[in-house]
Amino acid sequence: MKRLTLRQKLENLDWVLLFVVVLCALAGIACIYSATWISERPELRVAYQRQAFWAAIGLVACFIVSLIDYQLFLRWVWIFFGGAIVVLLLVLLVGREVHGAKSWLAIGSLSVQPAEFTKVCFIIFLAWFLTKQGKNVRSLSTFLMSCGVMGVFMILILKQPDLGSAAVFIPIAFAMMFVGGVAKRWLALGGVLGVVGGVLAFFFKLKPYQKARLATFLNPSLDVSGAGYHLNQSKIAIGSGGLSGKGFMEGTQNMLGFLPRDVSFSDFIFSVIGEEFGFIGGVALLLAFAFILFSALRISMRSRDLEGSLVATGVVMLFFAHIFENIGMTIGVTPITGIPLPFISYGGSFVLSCFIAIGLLQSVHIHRRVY
Amino acid sequence: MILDAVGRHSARVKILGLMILLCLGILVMKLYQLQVGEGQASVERARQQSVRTILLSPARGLVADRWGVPLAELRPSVDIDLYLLEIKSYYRKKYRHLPYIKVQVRRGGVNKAEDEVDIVKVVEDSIAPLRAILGDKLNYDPEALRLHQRIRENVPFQLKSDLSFEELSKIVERNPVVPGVNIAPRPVRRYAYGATGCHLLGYVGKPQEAKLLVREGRKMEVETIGKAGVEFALDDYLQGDPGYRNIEVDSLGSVQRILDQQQPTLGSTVYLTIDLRVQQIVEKAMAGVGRGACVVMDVHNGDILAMVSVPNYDPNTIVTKAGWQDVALNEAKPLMNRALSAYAPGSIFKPIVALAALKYDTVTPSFTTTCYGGMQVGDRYRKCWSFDKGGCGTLSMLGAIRRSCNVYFYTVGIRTGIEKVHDIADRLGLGKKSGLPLRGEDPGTIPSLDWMKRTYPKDRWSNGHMANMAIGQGFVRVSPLQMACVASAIANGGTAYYPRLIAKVMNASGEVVREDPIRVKGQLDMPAEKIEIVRQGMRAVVNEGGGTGSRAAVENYVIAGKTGTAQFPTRIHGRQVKDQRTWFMAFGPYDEPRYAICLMVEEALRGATCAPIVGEIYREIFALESSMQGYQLTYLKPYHGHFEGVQEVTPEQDQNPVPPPE
Repeated sequence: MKRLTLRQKLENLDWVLLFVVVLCALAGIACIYSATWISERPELRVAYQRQAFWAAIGLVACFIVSLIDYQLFLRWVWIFFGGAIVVLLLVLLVGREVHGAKSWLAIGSLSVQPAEFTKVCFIIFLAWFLTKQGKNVRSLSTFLMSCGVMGVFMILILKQPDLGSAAVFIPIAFAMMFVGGVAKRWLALGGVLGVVGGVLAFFFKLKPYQKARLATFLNPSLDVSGAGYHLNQSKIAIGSGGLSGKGFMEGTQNMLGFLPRDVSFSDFIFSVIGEEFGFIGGVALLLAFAFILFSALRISMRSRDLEGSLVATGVVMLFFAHIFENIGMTIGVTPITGIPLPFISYGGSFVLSCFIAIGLLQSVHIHRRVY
Repeated sequence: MILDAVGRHSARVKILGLMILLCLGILVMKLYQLQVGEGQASVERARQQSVRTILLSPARGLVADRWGVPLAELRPSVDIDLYLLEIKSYYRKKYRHLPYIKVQVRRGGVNKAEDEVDIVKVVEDSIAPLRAILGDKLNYDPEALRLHQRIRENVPFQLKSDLSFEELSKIVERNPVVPGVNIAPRPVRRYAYGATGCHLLGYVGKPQEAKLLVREGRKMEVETIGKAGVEFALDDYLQGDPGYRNIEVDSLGSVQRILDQQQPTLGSTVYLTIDLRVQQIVEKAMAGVGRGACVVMDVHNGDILAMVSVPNYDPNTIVTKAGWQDVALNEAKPLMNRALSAYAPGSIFKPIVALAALKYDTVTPSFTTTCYGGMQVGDRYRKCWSFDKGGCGTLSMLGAIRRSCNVYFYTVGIRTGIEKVHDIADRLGLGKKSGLPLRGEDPGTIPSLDWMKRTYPKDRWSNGHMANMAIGQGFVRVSPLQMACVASAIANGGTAYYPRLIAKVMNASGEVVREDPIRVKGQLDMPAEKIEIVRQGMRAVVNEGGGTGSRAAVENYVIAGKTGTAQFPTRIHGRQVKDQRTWFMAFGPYDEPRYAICLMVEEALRGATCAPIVGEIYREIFALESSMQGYQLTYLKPYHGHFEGVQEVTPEQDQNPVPPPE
């Protein structure tokens, strides 16, 4: 296959997709500002600046990754895989604890959340692994080994503990296996075992606060001032936004602190969006996300090889899992787990990893089959 | 082979896309339901948790006399008010938590233990700087504070009212800043003339339970309500509209900003028919009698110009603990309005018997009887008050009224019969409520054959009963107010009016919102010359030698009247005693009657108690009419009444009493 010139690569880049992504990131920065300007904590008031900084870094990273042929990453797969495992172990050993979760690594004055990056590493690894199986992909051993790797990542992240981030690996892995050609019966079996395992985990493994969150998801009015408080206030915020919202920086639920200010700019940013921009604003954001997701699915279908297709599928599921779970929890569709909304929620590591994922996607797109 | 694989995975990617689309669809649907479907409910919930309404007390309307002189007015009281919501929010900010206690609360008839903020501790901790200044003077009822929190938290609690000048200046000097504590003047009720007209005015106090006032569709809690008298009866007019202030609070309850507010309004002014000057003339004339009541009425329309009942109380202090005890411990029952209570009338009932006899021609005016000091009625010999003097002699109707001869009225009463006497009494409004907007009115009793059958089914109406009724004894009960109406009707030629107490009610912008019309209650429907005989008889009572009411005479004016006395047994301080009620019913001036007066005094002191008092009242009213000078209105202290002259009796002594001299 002949190598593309830089100019050809730039011409092949999906500029519209990139534009929508940047638009989302800018909207995110604005919403973070709206959610934090009234806070009495100075470090929260400047959160939007830090988000802008990381989004800019992310954009640069995105370009760099885009221009590199993804096959190169697949060739270096063991570096990514090994790096991810080492970093996750490092977090458990020397990580910094915030809000009871040891999820952070301090590098100088920077704090990073390695789990976010390991999701991308896992996508690269699984794409490589499934392709490498060739015709053997339908065998039980492929399924089991994929699940095993997924399990390793999940267990390491659950140890922090970060249930939300760990859970994201499941839809990514299953979607990639599904597209990669793993037999449906194994996936179905995995699904059944997963549910059984989940129920067992609920009774034996989950921490009390996690159980409480699940219980409030099932019955939100159970405990309005305790575990159900976030969900209840989030629904009041979004619901009171009505059709067209209360206006930018006018969300009273957020300003008066009924929506807790320590999460309204991160995990519960959608509650602020729903309150300030209403149904119209919420649907507009969902449309932007839908555009990104379906562009990515199209990229998956038009990739020049299975690896590219699988990488794109993994990225789609990474975004989709975050979007569905995050928005879902603010409106009571899914249980509350603390995972952020791509490009919108505050979080340097996450926004950077999202841009890198977009870079991977663009790389698949740039180096697509040309008819 | 690669293309084949890609082809297969494309189909699977499409399935994936479909699933994603489905999930996004679910999100959109749920968002629609939440924001468009239930949006309004969420707006309401958001508002409920972030908006608190604080009520601003309205100023109560005035109660004035017929000329607009206010009897119940407003004065500023400098109070320390506690805004409990604010105090609690500040407390939580400072100490990070609120103290709780368990309390027993009655809910739906069941006692339950509930957690409640220990408001007394919160307040005590918060007002420490004030306590440092005022010390022990800052005393309040902790239970009242807890109750206040329970039932009207959004109304400020009055920690201390009526700060003295020294206290206020001490506070201002040190200027302690305590959030939620506000020192401000508020308008409070003041009865400008003390006990004057207290039974009419009533008094105000805090409601026992939260009372809601619904105005313009908004419910508001009322801070002060009328507890008696006009204050109670016309409370809805007197209440101003409370103002409110909607404040926005954050999730910790601290106040962020004022959203909107409305200033409270002044309630309507109630104009009574009372003439405050006449009221005070009567109040002062009554000071000294044991217990009693007096009503002054305009004979032409039933307007009550004065209504006094003693003993009385000061409505300014009755709501205080000391003031209430003073009233509650007085056995003369100062709270009772004697003008509306019914008693045996004695001889002032005789003109009614005379009117019945004349209207139905059961006797002619020239009919005479001779009184030898008593007569046989049925199986009993009934005495006249003149028994010891050998009788009244031969009397016609006029003379019989003048001398109040019992024998004459025994005879005439028995001849006329119960039904005809009842008819006249009924036309004059006796035995019925007068329709005043005051509580506790006794309709009294005028027996009839029907009444007898209902009340004493085993007894038959006899001449003995009739003889008793004819001299205002036995079953007959009337109130001083009713007898003032009777005097008015005799004076004005036969028209009985409904007594009127409320002239009109005017709101703060000067519109009349209620006007009580003059209403006729009944007509005597008999020729003027027949009524004239009774009028002349009553004139003779006051103005001719041998009349029983000569001490009611007034220089330059002709007064007509009728005396009456009835003894009654009662219990005072747990002992059986003999008390005496003396009546005087009058109108004047005789030729152009304007004022009817009925006075009733309860005391057993000998001597014509009533007539001189009525004379004094007329004298002063006429002086008021003719002089250009104003009347000096004064603040009246409550008058406690007395029990002087009552005699302890044993029950058997009370048989067959001789009617006392009149």
